[in-house]
Amino acid sequence: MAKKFLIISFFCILFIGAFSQSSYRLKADITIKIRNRDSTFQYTKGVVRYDRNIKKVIYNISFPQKEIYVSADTTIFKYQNDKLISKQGSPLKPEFSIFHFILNNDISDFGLRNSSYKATNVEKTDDMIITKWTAPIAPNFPLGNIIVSSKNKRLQSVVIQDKKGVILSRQIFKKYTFINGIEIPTEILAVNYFGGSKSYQIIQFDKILINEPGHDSDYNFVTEKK
Amino acid sequence: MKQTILKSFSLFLAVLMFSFQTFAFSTKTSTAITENEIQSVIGFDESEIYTAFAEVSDLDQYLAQNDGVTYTDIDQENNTLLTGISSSTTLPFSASSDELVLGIPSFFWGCVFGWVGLLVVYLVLENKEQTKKALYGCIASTVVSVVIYVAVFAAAATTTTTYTY
Repeated sequence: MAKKFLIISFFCILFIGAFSQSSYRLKADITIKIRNRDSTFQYTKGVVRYDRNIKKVIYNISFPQKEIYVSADTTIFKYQNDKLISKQGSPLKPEFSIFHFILNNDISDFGLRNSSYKATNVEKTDDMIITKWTAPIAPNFPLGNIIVSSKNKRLQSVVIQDKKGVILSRQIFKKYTFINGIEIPTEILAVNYFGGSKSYQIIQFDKILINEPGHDSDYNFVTEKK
Repeated sequence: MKQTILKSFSLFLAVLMFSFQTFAFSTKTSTAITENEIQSVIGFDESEIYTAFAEVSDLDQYLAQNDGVTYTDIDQENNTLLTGISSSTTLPFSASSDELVLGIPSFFWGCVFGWVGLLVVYLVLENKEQTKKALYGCIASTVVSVVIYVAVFAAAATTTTTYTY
């Protein structure tokens, strides 16, 4: 009896593992709302696509304007009516984006396990696990430690500090959905602190589709030089 | 002679022990999770964030019912929905016109990273005001460096003069 149970458990784990490994492509409706420090708002709505093998985040924006943004390596390309309007540098590469973490099932530790940060302390409070990730010792490294809380292997919240321990940003990951063996937060709340003032951000995902067949060109938008 | 060596060695060991203790203490405090840090990560008031966006709830509903409309479309029909709303797009976790690169003030980008920081702010934000702040940071760090250099040079010159006398 116990042997049978072990065999079934083994195949279940193998099945779930295979499922999560095979998630390589994500498409979702996305809404980004920002309340700036001066109480003005930015509101953006569209569709996001990401293929972790291609490593390009493609945003088909419908509001405020019909635009396409492509984040590839350290550049963001902006297109209007199929014409390249501008390109600018970005410190956030697609492989460090939330979409990559989600598909890699690295969301529980905010992708820090594969970064230069080191987990230096772990504490348990009730059903929550709190991990302190210590920043790399480099004189010019701009950020300090990062505190991450998770519950049932789901990332709950993140606090990013500066080098003096002052909070720069707090983020909450919530309304999880479980698709194709991966955990996906469908709402992210964030507060960014600037001394005495702060800005707020809400990111929402809807109509999430994993491993959309075909549509290869939609996931591999060919960027061109201006 | 032997006594002097022993005394020096004892003093060296005492200093070594003291510095090791200090180092151990500082390591512990930097990696330990404080009660404040626990509260900062679990005691997060979500309602504060939702309340901050109450003013755009009408636009939320309108966009949910009218898929594909643009800012220009709404501006022509019902522009009260767009009060206080910018016509520029923003991307998740990116720096908006009001934001900073990685949440770090532009002044510090210029101050710490010099012209490289200035370039990062210019390229990422494309914002004249923030670039100006980075430039001020760059100038400030250069001035401080020059002052330190002059002070050290003057101190060295004074020391040399003392030796001459």
